[in-house]
Amino acid sequence: MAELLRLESVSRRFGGLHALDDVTLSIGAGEVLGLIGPNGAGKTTLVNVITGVHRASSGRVVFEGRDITRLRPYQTARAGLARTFQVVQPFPELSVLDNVRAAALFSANSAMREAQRVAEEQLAFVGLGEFASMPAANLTLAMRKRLELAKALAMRPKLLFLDEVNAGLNSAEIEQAMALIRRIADSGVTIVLIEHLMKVVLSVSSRVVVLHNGALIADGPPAQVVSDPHVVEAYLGKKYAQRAMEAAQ
Amino acid sequence: MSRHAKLALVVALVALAALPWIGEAYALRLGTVACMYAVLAVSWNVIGGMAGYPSFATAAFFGLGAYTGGVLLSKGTPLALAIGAAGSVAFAVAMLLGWVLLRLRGHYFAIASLAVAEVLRELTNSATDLTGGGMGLNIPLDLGSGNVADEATFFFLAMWALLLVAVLVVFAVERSRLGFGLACIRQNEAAADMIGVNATLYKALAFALSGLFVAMAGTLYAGWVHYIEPPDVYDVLFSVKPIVMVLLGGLGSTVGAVIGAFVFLGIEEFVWSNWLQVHSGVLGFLIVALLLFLPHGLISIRHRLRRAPDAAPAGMIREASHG
Repeated sequence: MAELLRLESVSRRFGGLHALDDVTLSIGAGEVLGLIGPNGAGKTTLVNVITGVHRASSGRVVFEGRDITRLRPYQTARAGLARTFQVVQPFPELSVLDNVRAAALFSANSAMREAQRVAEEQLAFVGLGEFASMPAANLTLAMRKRLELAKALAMRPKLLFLDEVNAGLNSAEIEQAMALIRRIADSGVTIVLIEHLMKVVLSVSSRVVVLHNGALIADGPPAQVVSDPHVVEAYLGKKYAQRAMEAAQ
Repeated sequence: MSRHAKLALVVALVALAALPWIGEAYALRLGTVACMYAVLAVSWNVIGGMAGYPSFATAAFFGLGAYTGGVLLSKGTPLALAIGAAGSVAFAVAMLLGWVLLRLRGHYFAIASLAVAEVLRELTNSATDLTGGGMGLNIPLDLGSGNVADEATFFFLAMWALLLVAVLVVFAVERSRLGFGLACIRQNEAAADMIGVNATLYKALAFALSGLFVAMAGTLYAGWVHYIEPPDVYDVLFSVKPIVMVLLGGLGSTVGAVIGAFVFLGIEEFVWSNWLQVHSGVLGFLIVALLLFLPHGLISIRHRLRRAPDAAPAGMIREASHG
């Protein structure tokens, strides 16, 4: 599998806090990578460092063989990295269609008409076609999450970060979202899925990495990672990890 | 903004050109000031209304344009050339300043932009050889006719033409990629960054556009009044008034900015002529009252008449929810 993104000893400090501590990671093209970890583990910081919102304090980020460590967010966006935000970030006054159109227009330097076509296509894909002319502020949370997804997809990303796309959704909505994620993965987009819901991570991901206190503590197939004692300890504490180990033996 | 409103504005502006043939000297003077105010308001709306950055740098650009053009005029440069030079200088200065200052947001940007005029005023004061410093600068502009009425007509038409050009350029910007990008930046800058909008460049361009026509108006003003001094052209009121005009007309709307400027001048003249002793106080009171009872500006009256009173027009949602 060809390597798409590589992190080389990436660290990010905020004052005395090591939000990311010497993270080395390689993501292959076509993977669906689950990125999990307890609250405050540094998952969103990792996405922020890769996309250029924060700059790495040390280490290198390499995308398609090109060093993108020092690129700004709009530049990484044009290079082919897209993300959805944990807290949805629509342009509230713009219509749903214009939200997506903006993403298509500015990420690819495409013509207005081409952007319009891409936007309509992606809105239909996420199932928001009939709400195209509505102001984005009027959408429900589940629809806003899908709008985020449509915006990210309209950028024609090579690598897509999905930051908690399922948070706050009910189980029916989660089913819909999972089906969408699978279809996006099938279309050849590499996905990094940041998720708290284990059910989603385990069923969609081809590989899972675990972040704890800013450091990677596990990397492997989903089933293997969730039974890793270090991972259990990170989530549930030492005592429970021991008990789980004993139970397994 | 609907295309009808834009078309109506352009038609009204074109009709305004008839003023020299129907009005006397007072109307002509008022018309010139009205066009100048409208240029300032339309320009401020680009950075303040479209990009959402509350700039107090209008006076800086006005003074910079007045002095750049004024100095050139006093050395015998033709007016058109002086205007072009003032516009270019202001555009370049605003671009550079914007690249730095627009990293600040909200109140911090407002304060920083306020300082620009003060710095320029001090520089103008101390560059005595070039600008005359505190003595002011005489601009003996000779238009060839020597007739006072002809000169008044000329400067009215020049200011009017500048307003028309400014309005048409800003209309074009609204429809362009730049305008779309600025709308994204205003609503959510982090999200705009994330979809590939080069926010730093776009904001600097917006700032530069907001300086361009103001500086040109400054040169025309200098030629018109024949004498400028730093406290006059770097007056902080040149920064504050355009903001009030835009808020009066409707934040973010070019048509609203022009209406706001004209209405503001009307109120200003009316109050000034009726309550000479306390006119500033009365003007302030009226403006506060208008903004309180018509927070989305005069332009929103249209929507109020057409729709239910609680249905704010789509463009106003942000202002409503953020106060």
